[in-house]
Amino acid sequence: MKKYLLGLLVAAFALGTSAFTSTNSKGKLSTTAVMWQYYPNLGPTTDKTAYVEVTTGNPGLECGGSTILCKILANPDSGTPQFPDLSNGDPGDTGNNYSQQFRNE
Amino acid sequence: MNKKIFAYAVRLLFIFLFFYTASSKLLEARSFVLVLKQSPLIGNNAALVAWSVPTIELVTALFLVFPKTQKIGMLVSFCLMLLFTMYIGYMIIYTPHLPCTCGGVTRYLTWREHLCLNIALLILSGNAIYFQKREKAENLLKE
Repeated sequence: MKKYLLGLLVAAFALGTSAFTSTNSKGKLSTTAVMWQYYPNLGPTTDKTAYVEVTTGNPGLECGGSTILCKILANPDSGTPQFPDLSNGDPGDTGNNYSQQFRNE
Repeated sequence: MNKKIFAYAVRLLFIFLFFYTASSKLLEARSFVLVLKQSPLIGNNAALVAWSVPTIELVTALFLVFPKTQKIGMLVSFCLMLLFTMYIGYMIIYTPHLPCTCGGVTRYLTWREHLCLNIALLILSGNAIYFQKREKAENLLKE
């Protein structure tokens, strides 16, 4: 029993930490958003037609409750509707935050 | 003795890592599938991968918990880390603009930071396996 007690304690701690960080990542998002989601099958990232507008009433739910995914899909800091700014080419190449390519309402 | 402690510490580290990342992936399964769908390497198999990866991670972590299965658990951990490292390498080369499909706080790392972390974990697990084997050989010699 003692041999695996510490392992089980570490496992329980990991599960608790995971649940905590997951719960904490929710609720940081605004209630409405318009997102531009990139679809690789529609073209390269430099092509505007490869982006599809997605309107959602609850970004937290639409993004699966994930803050990081919402950051990818929508820019919470931008109040101005705009198409993705692709003037600098591939956002991956320019080192820009991918979220800058999307807007929030 | 120090090597034994090292192997034990690495085992605990991997128990934490696999339980943490697997449960994070399962708690946010929907977003995990969405991001995986964008990966050119996984794409159509996103749902399958989204469920199988955390399941394998949890089984591996359970293997590491129990003394009878810890050796196979450490070997599987090494193989998993190797696989993840190769996947990260592929993503860095071909699709660096896509997000990381990692669980928990590790998703906030950049691809390169994640690659460094994985290489470090790969080295740690490799050393732990080596020390385990060496310890076994030394024990046999003593007998």
